[in-house]
Amino acid sequence: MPGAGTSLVVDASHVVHETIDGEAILIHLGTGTYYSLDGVGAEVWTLVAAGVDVDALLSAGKARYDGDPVEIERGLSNLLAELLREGLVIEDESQPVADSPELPSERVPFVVPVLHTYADMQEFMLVDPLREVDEVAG
Amino acid sequence: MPRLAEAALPSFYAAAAREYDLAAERTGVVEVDLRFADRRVRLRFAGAELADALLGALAARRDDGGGEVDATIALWEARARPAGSLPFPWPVADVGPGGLVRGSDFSRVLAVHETYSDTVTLVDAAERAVLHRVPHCGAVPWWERAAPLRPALFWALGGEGRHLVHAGAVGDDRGGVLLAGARGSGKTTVALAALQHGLGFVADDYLLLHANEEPKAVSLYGTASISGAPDAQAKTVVDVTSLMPDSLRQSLPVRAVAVPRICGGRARLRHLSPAEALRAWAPTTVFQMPFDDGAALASLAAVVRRVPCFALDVGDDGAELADAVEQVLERTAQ
Repeated sequence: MPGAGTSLVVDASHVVHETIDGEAILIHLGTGTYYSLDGVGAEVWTLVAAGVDVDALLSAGKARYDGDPVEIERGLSNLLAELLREGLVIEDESQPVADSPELPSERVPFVVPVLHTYADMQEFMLVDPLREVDEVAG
Repeated sequence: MPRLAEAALPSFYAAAAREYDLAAERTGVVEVDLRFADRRVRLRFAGAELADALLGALAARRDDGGGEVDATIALWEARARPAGSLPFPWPVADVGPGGLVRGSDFSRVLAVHETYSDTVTLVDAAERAVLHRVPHCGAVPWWERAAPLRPALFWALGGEGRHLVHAGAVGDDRGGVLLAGARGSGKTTVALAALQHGLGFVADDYLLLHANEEPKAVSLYGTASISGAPDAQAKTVVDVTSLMPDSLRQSLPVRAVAVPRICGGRARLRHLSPAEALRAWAPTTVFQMPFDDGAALASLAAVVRRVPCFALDVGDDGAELADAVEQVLERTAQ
């Protein structure tokens, strides 16, 4: 779990991402895995991509979401740990903390965020993915 | 992990250019200009046999009208060098996904080594010059005949907001429906059904996307690749250029993105969120052509934000599929 005072930054050397209509799509160019986040997870990703440090992110989450603060902190921390584990973000102590997180002020119920993981493209990470011919229809 | 010496790629590029010159001296040069919308690419083949092997799918793009050339691609066979072809300066361990050689410098010289066919593409990014060497034109694999020179065209035609992407497109004067999805999702099935029922054909698998304010799908190849028997070692390449030349469209404005999915039964159309469409389209494009560090993602996102997106359940009836594409065009025509 990332420690207090830590900043997380997107590992831009390996990860590209876009957020559309509340869903974040993350592609790890080094592993062939891609991911999606929605709801709370997409909002967390927006903060991470903005360079918000972990403490500020947890505070912003508690201000944004209705629910048990302990559960909220655990849910958010677990997601951050998973993002780290998947190599989507890296710890960066030198990263300056962004001014303030920008989540909507309206409070919404907390839903434990889930990082959806897709591995169906990993064949392309092979040097020579054999051009299979069983693709019925392109 | 082994890393290529910094100077190795520029040196190899220079040596390969000399190798091409020697081959061209022996065989003569076949020069062919291709036009892709507003871009002209000049191919300079060392020998007519290689031109024959690679030009079939690009026949509809030939343009003898002259004009400024945006990029050149010099092509030759390794066998044309009697002393044996230049050895690659990189170990196989340095060949990454898509054949991109680690140590490539996107601003200078980069290399794509397709080790399965031992084909190499070298790009001088600043000069927009590409070298493309195949071992032997008789050994050009079926997929390279169906959709040749993808890495070379990626750089020759690409740029900010322009990307070679994994998608098909069909349509008519109302505009085009872009067919996005991974391999086996049904792009070719839908494209051929639309073609057979009177719609125009831009692509079944790869196209050049202009992702500006009015996104456009630009045709690269006049072919479609379909599976034969389950145990077949190659797909059947349908030469749309020869069979239905009037149906080929050089480009179409993108009015919608449809994400097909093979389901069987009845064809069914429903709205899809832009995020779902991007999730179906972006990974297969980014991972198949990992030559720009994923820069295509932002352009693809811009397109799905701009036009309506649909999910298309691919049923068994071609007429229903064509009708589904018609419905999309009717709903989105401006």
